[in-house]
Amino acid sequence: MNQFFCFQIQSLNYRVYSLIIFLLSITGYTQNVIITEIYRDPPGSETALGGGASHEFIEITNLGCDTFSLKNLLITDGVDTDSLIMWDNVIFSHQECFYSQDFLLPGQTALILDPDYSKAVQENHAPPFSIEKGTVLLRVDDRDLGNGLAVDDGIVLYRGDKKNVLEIIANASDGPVYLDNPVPGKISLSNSKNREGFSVTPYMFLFDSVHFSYKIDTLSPGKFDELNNGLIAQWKFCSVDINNQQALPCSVLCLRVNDNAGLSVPWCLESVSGLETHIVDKGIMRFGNQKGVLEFDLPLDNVDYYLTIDTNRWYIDISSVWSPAASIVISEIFPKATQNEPEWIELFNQSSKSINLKNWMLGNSEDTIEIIGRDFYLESSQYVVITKNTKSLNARYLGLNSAIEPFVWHTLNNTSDTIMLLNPQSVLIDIICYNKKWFNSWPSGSLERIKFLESGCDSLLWEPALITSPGMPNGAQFYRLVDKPFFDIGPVPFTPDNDGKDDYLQISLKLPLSYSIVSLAIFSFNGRMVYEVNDIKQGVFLWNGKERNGKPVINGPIFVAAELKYPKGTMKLLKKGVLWR
Amino acid sequence: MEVAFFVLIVLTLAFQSMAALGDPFPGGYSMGNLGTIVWKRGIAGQQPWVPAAYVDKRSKWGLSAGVVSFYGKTGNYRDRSIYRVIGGGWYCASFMNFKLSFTQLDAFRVYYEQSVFVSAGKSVFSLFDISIEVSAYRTGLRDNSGRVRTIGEIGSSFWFPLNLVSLAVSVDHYVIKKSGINGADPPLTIRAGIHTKLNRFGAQGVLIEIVPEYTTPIRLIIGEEYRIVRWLGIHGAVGNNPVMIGIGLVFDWKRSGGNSALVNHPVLGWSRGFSLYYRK
Repeated sequence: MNQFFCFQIQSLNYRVYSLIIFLLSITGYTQNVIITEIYRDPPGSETALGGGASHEFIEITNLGCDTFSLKNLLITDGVDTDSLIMWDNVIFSHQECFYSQDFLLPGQTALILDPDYSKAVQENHAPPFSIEKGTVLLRVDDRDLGNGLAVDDGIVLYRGDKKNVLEIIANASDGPVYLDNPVPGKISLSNSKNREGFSVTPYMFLFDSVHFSYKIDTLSPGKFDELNNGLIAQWKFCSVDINNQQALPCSVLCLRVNDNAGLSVPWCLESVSGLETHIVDKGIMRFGNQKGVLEFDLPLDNVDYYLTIDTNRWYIDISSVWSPAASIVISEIFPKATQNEPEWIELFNQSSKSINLKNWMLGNSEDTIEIIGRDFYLESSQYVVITKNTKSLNARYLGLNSAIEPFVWHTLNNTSDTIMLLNPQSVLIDIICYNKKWFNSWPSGSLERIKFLESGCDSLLWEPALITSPGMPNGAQFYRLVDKPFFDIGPVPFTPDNDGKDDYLQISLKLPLSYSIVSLAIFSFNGRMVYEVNDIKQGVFLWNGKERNGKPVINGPIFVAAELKYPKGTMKLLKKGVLWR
Repeated sequence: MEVAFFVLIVLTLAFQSMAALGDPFPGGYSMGNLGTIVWKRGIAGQQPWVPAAYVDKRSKWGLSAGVVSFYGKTGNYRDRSIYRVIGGGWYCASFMNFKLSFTQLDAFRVYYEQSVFVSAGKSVFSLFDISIEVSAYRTGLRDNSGRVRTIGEIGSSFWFPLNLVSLAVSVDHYVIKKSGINGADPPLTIRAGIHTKLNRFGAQGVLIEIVPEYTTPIRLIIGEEYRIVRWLGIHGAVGNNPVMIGIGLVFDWKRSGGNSALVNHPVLGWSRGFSLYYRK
């Protein structure tokens, strides 16, 4: 009954179409109270006090326009049923919550805690999370919440008793639930893969039955994130052929809590690109029975869209259905895992809009993995690292601030491989290849992509990184994107006497893409080659004034010679300096 | 006459002062043959910067000067070269021979070396010649920092003329006054060589240079000198580690003479040298 029709969208008169949408939408979401967050799997042992089950909670929110009574409420997971009762004692550090309130005001949230929660707080001398001020605290009349929530437990909130269900208030389950008996068998909510330490929260419930997914960021007990100043807005894009259209039709449903009157509020759709903001569409939104409907077209452009209704603003993400060509590229890869560093792939958003990586895929024709199953916005000009193990990678690179660990990892070949990046519609966004034969030397470290706008399978566009840089710009882009060879040394003189000043000779080498290095060597004044750089990489090389055997090179003039290969032959570059101790 | 001829054709190869700390080849007359062949009665033996064991006593005294420009142009300091000027004289007293020379190296106005070379030699029983040399070096930067190093060396040379060839062994860069800085003193160098007397193909010499401190310590140089006419000749040499090829033109005219030489390093390029002498 909640199907959302978008067919023949182009031919319908806007007013008629809006009316149909409105009529359909008011049949969608019908619950006044919904379960807005479930925390089933806190970190630590399930039986630990001060962790585990004692930190579990269920959050409910009253989205209706009337006060909701909390009397005679029960929860069941299909196996065990518990009555909800007021929390009687004030919990340390949650003094601003409500303890003896047996009703929920419109827009207000209640939190059903495990009975051992207060003991756990005392045990830890600190609460495991902060609870929003004004939240009504409840608990169950049993030893554990839901007899300890399993990671796939569904929950039904109902009114009645432990033997009879008089009215189902809300449910968090894999499908619709119709209960007479509160314990008919296990009720599951398993459509989201479990992640320890993460809670699940509903999404898109205004359009259809309630679905749950893992929360993007931290827990937010007592606060329903979707509720924004008494408004909830959710939107859907019509499934049309975006390859042949210039715009994406979008429908917005809006729920106004605590307001059953037919209000009209202004709305505005803006496009943002860098510092430029343009108004795409605007008008007046009319509410009826708490709900309002909007229809507009989003031009398929490399911009971000923001919807403002009344005084509330939302980011409209269209990257789940459309993203600019080559919007995200694979910019650096680390296929050769070590004991301290797992494999990783760096992505870069080179478009001017944020892109949601939810349901994007990485892999090749034989095996692909989902990067992330929840919303993850990669901002314009930002990097994110997809890795087999975020914990190890963060320990290796302390400054790394954006990393994703997929549930399943696509193992990279150490010598040659092809990696594809696909958007949720399985459209190929980027493809890269690498082969160790392309490089004179690639003993370890990452491979950096030099140009993002050209094929990722061009051997000239990859370079062993001088400094592995996950989540940061590639050094190779700076020293390879030059018009002609750049070769320099300094300081002159350089003084390797360990006084902290000019102790190293810095050799800088930047080459155009068609150039490669044949040799790079240092000669003393008597013409003897005193140091040959074996692991030749472009960028910056530092020499400490010693031969390979550790013997210091004698004071005096020194020479640094680079032999280069380019399409027309070879060339030599020579620089001179002075070594002084 | 026969004795004079013998003296004329005997070639010597022995202690070859580089007159510098780390020069790639000797300066002056010996540049073109990379020091493989030293004519005692030619300008090679008379050069003030080679030991006094080698001197032509037919001259009472003499003066010599030269200049060497090292290697080709580089990408930086393109208009500034590395060059060395050398100058000095010799004097033959009845009891002993003396040589004194000065050199100055300038490396693109950033670095300099100055050296003084003093040698005293004497013939012993007309069988061999011996000399003792003392060298002092002063190196520094031209950046007004006052950073200067001084080094002192002592050496000795022996010359053994035989009928057909000359043999020699020498030890160079035996430092007696160290700079005190690790890596600032030149490495000990051992040289051994042999070369033939003048024959129809000229004179041929082989020089082995050993620097124990180096990773590849042995250097081999093969040289040739050919007199086109009595007063004009050409010479050349090839050496490895590093590879160098030298060629030069020499001339003697009455009491004066000179040479012009080129040495090629496959990476660092061409070095050019020129020297003149006058003897009385």
